[in-house]
Amino acid sequence: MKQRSKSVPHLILSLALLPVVLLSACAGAGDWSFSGLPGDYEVVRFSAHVIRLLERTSDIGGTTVVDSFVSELWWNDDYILAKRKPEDTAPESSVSYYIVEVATKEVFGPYTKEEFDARVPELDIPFSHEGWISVRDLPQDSS
Amino acid sequence: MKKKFLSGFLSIILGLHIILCPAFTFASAPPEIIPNSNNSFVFPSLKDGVSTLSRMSVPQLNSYISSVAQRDMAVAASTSSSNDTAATIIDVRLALYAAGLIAQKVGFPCAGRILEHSALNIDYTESNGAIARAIQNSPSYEAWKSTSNDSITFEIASDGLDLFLALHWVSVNVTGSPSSSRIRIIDTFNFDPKFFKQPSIINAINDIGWLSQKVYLLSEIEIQIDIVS
Repeated sequence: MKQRSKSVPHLILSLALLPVVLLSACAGAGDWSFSGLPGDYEVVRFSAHVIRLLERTSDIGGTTVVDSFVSELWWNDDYILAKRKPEDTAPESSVSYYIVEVATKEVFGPYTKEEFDARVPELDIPFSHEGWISVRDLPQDSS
Repeated sequence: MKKKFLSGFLSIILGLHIILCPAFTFASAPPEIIPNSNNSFVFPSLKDGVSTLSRMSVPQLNSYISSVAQRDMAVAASTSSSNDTAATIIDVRLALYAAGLIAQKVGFPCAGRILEHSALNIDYTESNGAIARAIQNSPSYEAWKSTSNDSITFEIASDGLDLFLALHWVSVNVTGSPSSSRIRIIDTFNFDPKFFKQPSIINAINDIGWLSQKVYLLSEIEIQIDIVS
């Protein structure tokens, strides 16, 4: 009896949610984009293993600026810095670095870490490696 | 924990069939599909289940989902006959497969196809098939054709719920000349533990999909759709 009384609210909740859920448990639900970057740039998750930095060119999509797998970002109003791995499980030693200049839309890179560390001060970017943000930790209230 | 989850999930599946098809009877079933015993189906393998379910009508598919759920609930409540067994992962995956078949028949042809394949852990590939036609008829695709974008996003408002839930953000690869080209659309069906910037119901979908992946009821599959001129 106790088991049945617990199952009834569960079933009601299931009924309320489920028609849409089961009919639509599909690829689209897992994709997201983070548009809290300057300019028309967005980070887009196509799958757990494919995350790219895109330039959004219209309401219906965009072009890839830094290909997958974009693992970490830093940005201010003028620049977006990105770390890219060949794939999400690749070691840190495989990382290449990119610099996107927002105003001109120029993309510099791929750089090694040494090249990147030399280039950043040349462009007068107020960046330190402690400032990297993992794409997994992008703030939810940004858009 | 897994057993409780399966039972809960069966409640969900039962809810689906109640909402979608409130009136059905076995009296309308084609004579060649016969329940195993006690008016229920127990398939020894996914292959056997797919072979039979793929020939069923919507009422029969709903009856199958109901039979799996009811059998498991009876076992859980200790009111079943001694021959009944609790639902296995294969049973629930077949129920999800049946839900995908139903979805295709009740207005969600794209989402239904993908759900069907995910339940069976089979990548989805087509060339100029049903999803390709849906894409070609969508406003977002029409708008994309005049751009040089390598990505498209399908949205509910413009492209409809079915296409949105089947694809959403996709990569696009174009090969060949404009007059004889192949447009390849690539996506991955899976769910992510972190998710934002969507209506709350979509977040709920993602959460349940993530949980389904965790217990292997649904699988991450690759989607490849070719539009060939």
